[in-house]
Amino acid sequence: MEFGNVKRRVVRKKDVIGEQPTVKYEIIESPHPYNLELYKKHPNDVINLEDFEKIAWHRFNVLKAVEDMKERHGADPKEYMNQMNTTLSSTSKGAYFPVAFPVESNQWKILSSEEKRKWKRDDLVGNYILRLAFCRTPEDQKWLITNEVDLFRFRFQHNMTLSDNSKRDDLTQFLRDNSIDVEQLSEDEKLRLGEEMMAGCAYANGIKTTSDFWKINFTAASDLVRRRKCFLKGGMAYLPTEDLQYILSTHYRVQLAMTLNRAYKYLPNIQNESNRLKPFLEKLANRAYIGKEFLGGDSTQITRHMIEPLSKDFPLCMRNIHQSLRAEHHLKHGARQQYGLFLKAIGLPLEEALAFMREEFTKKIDSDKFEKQYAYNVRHMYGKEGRRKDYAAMPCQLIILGAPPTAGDCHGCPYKHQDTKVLERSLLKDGLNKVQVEKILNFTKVSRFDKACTRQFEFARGMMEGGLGQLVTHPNQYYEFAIQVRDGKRHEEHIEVLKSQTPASHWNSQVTTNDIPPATNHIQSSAQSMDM
Amino acid sequence: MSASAFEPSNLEAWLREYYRTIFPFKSYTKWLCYGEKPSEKFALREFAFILEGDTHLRYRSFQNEADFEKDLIKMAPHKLDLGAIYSHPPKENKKHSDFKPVEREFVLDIDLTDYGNVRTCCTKATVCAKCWKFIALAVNILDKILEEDFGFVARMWVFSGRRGVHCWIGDVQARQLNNSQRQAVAEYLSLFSGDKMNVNFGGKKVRSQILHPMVNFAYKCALQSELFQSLLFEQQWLSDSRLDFLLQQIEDEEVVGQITKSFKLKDSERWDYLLKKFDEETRVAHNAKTGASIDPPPATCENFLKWFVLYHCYPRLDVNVSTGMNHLLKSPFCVHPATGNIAVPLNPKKIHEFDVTQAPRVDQLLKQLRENGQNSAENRRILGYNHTSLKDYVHNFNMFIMKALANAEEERAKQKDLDIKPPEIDSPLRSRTVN
Ligand code: SF4
Ligand SMILES: [Zn+2]
Repeated sequence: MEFGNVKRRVVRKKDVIGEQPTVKYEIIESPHPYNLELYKKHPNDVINLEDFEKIAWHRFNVLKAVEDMKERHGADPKEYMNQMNTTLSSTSKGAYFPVAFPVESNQWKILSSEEKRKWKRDDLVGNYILRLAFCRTPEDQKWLITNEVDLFRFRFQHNMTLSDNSKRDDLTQFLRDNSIDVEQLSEDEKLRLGEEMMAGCAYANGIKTTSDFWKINFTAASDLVRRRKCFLKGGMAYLPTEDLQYILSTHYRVQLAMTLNRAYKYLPNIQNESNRLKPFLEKLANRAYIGKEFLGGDSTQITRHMIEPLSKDFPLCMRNIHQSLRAEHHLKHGARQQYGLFLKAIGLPLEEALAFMREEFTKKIDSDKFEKQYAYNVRHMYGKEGRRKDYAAMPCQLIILGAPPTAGDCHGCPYKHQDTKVLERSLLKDGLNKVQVEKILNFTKVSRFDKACTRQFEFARGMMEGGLGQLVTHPNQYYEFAIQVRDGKRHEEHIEVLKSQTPASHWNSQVTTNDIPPATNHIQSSAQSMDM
Repeated sequence: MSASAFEPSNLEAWLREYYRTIFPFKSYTKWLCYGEKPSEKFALREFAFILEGDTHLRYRSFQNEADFEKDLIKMAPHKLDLGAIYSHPPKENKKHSDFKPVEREFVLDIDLTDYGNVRTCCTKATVCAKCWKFIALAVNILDKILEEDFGFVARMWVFSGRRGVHCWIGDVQARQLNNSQRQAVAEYLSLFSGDKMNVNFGGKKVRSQILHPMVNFAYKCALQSELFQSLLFEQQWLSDSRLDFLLQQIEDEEVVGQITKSFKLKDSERWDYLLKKFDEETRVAHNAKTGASIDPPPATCENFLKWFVLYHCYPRLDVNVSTGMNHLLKSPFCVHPATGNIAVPLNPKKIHEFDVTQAPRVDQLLKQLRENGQNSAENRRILGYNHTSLKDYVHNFNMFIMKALANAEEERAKQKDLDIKPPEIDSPLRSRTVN
C-alpha cells in the first residue's frame, strides 16, 4: 500500500505474500527543524501496517489530549499552555512524543538525523491518516479540524515562547516553504509607522520595540480587517506575531477543510480494496466520541407530571418506551431499567419515580403487587437498595450492544432494533419528510445508529444536516441538547469552513490547482498522488 | 435647470433611441474586457435586463460588443444590471454543473435614505442640492480610505440615478476578492451597524479609548471639508432641539454644564466652542495663539467630537450589496426609469459640483443630440454622446477605464514574472516513478 497510490499498491498485495503489507513512503528531506506544518506535502514512503496503525493512534491520542486540555483549562490560557506543555512535549518518548515534539534547539540537536526524519515523517503520516479517518461526516471533520488547529496553534505559541533566537528564522523559513507572503517589519519601518500602527492593531500593551511586527496582504488577514484590528496601508495589513498566528491557523483550518472534502471523495477507492484499512479508519473516528456520565441529581428536578410534556424532547428510544408504558401500563425489566435510569438522570426524584410507575402499573395490577414486585426495583436504581450504587443512565453504546429486545419488549435503540417498516412509519408520523427518513434509514442500514439518531434530532428541529455539530452518544445528551434548542440556548452550528470557502487568493493557488485524481484511472494513477 | 418634470410615458421610445445613438458602447466594452480578448472576460459577464413590469432577464451574456449592442437596442430594457464574471458564459448557466461566479468588481452602495435623522432638509425619497453634500462628503472620505488603506487605484463613483452613488473598484485584487474578503472590506469601512455606530468612542468607565487610525482619518477628512461646515448648519445638527441628544453621549457633569452653557450662543459659536474644547489641534493652536488655557476634556469624553462628526456625516453603507460576488448592481449609463436620469460616472474630485437636480436626463440628452449633432460631420453613432452633456461623464468613465487597464496590465506583468520561476512543487509524487 502506498500513499498517493493506495489503489495500485493494494492490488499488488498478493505479489508480496509472506511480507508485511507495507505503505510506501518517501520522506522529503526536511532541513528545517521547525515543527510547524501545513501538511501540504504528502507522505511518500514505505511503512508497514503495524507502524501505520501505531502512528495513527499516537496522533489520535494527542488530539484527544488536546481536546481534553481545552475542555478543562480552556478558560485559563496560562494554565492551558502549561498543561499542554507538560502533556504534549514530554520527552520520555511516550505516547505523545512523536507528534508534539517542540523545537527547543538542544532537544532537537541531540536527535540523530534518522530520528529527525522519523519525527517529521510521523507528523505527516499521522495527519494524513487521520484525515482519511475523519473525512466522512461533518461531525468527524469538525472534530479533526478543531483539534488539529488547536495543536497547530499550540505549537506556534510554544515556539514563540522559546528564548532561542532561531525561532524567528524557523518561522520565516516555515512561511517561505509554504509560499506565504509575509514580511517582517524592520526596526526602521516599525519606528516610522509607530503609534499609528499600534493603534491600528489595537495593541494595547504599549509599544514594545521588542515585539515583532509583520506585514501581509490584507486579503490574508480578512478577519482582522473586518474587525478593524490591524493597521492597513496600501493594501498591506500590519500586525503583531499573535495575530499572525491567528491568520495562519485560520489558513490551516480552511486548507484542512478543503483537503478533507477531497479525501472524502477519494475514500471509496481505498475502501473498495483494502478490507483491513476500512475498519481501522472507522474505529479511529468512532473513538473520538466518548460521552460523559449522566447520574441525575443535578440541580434541575422534575415532577412526574412534567414527563408527558417533556417527552417530546426525548430520543426515539425513550419515547417508544414511554408510549408503551402509557398504552400497556406495564414495562418489562429491560425497559424499566433503560427508561428508569434515563428519567432519574433528567432529574426525576425517587418519590416521583415511584409515584409515576405506580400510577401506571396499578391500572393493571393492584398496588400491593406493585410494591412487592416493582418498587424495590425502582429504589434499587436510585441506589436505595442492594448494592446502593448510584447507577448512571445507559449510554447509546450500552443500549445498542445490550440484550436485544424480544417479543413484548420495548427497550433498545429503535435504529438498531426496530423493524425498518415500523421505524419508517414512526419517523414519518413525527413529521419528517420522505427524503429525510430515507437518509436516516440509510444510516441504520450501515449500522451508524448514532448518525441516524443525530439526523432525526436535527430534522425534527428544522436544523440542517450536521447542524447539531456533534453526534448523539447518550439519550440524556440528546435530551439536554433538545432542551437547549427548545430554549433557544443552542444554535445551529455553522460549520462554515466546510463549505468550500476559498482562502486568500495568493495562497490558495497552490491548494486549488490540485484536483482530485481521477478515480477511474487505474493504472495511470501510479504517478498520481492523492492530493489532499 | 430641470426644464420640466420627467414624463415617463415616452420611456420605451427614448430608451431605444438612447441605446441606439448615445450609449457609450465602445468604452463600456473596453472596460468589461479589462485588456483581454472579449472571450476572456466580457463574454463571461452576467448582464441582467429588467423589462417593463419588473421582469428580470438574468444570466444574459454576449460574445462581443456588436452582439451586446444589437441585443441591448433590440430589447431596450428599462434597467440594465451588471453581475459577476462566471466560470462559463452565463447564458449557458444550466449547462454546466460547475457554473459559479469567479470575479467581480468590489462595489459599494450609498443611499441618502439611510441617513435617517441626521438629514433634516428632506425625508425619504426626496432629494435636494443640500442633501447631495452628504454624498459628496461620503465620496471624499471613502475614496481616500480606499486608496490609502487598501491601495485600490481604479475607483469609479457612479450616480445611482436618484439619491445615491455606487462605487466600482476595478483593481485585479478587488475583482478577485472572495465573499468573506468582500465582507471584511465592507465592514472595515462601515462605521454603522443599523443606526448605531460600531466604534467604541469611550465613555462609561472606559478611559481614553484608542481609535483605529482609519476612524481618525475619516474624522480629519470630514473636519477639513467645507462640505461638513455647510452640512453642520444647513442640517441644524447644533440646533436647540439636538442638545439633549448630544448630552446623552457625555457623562462628565462638568462638561455637560459647559456644553449646555455654550448653547446659549448662536449656532456658529456653539461649533466654535466644541472645536476649541474637543479638537486637540484646534485647542492647542488656539491656546498658543491667544494665550488662553482651555483644558483638554476628561478622558471619558475626549472622543466626543469625533463621535459627533462621524455620527452625522460618515457614510451609511449597505454592506449586503458589497458582500456577494454575484450580487447584481445597476450598470453605469443605465437610465433610471422613474427619473429618466442616467447613472453617470462622477469625478470624485469635483463631486460637490454635481447638481443632483440637474443630472443628465434621457429625454434631454436626445434633444441635445438632435440640436447639436445634426450638422456635425462626425455624427457617428458611437460618439453620439459627444454632442450631449453626457460627454464629460464619459470622460470620467474613460479615466477610470484607463486606471483599471493599467492595473490589469501591471498585475499581468507580475504574474508573468512569477511564471518564469519554477513552479512550486506541491506534490513530490507527480514526477516520481514508482518501482
Ligand atoms: S441512538 Fe441512543 S439516544 Fe438515539 S435512539 Fe438509539 S439509544 Fe436512543
Ligand atoms: Zn435635501
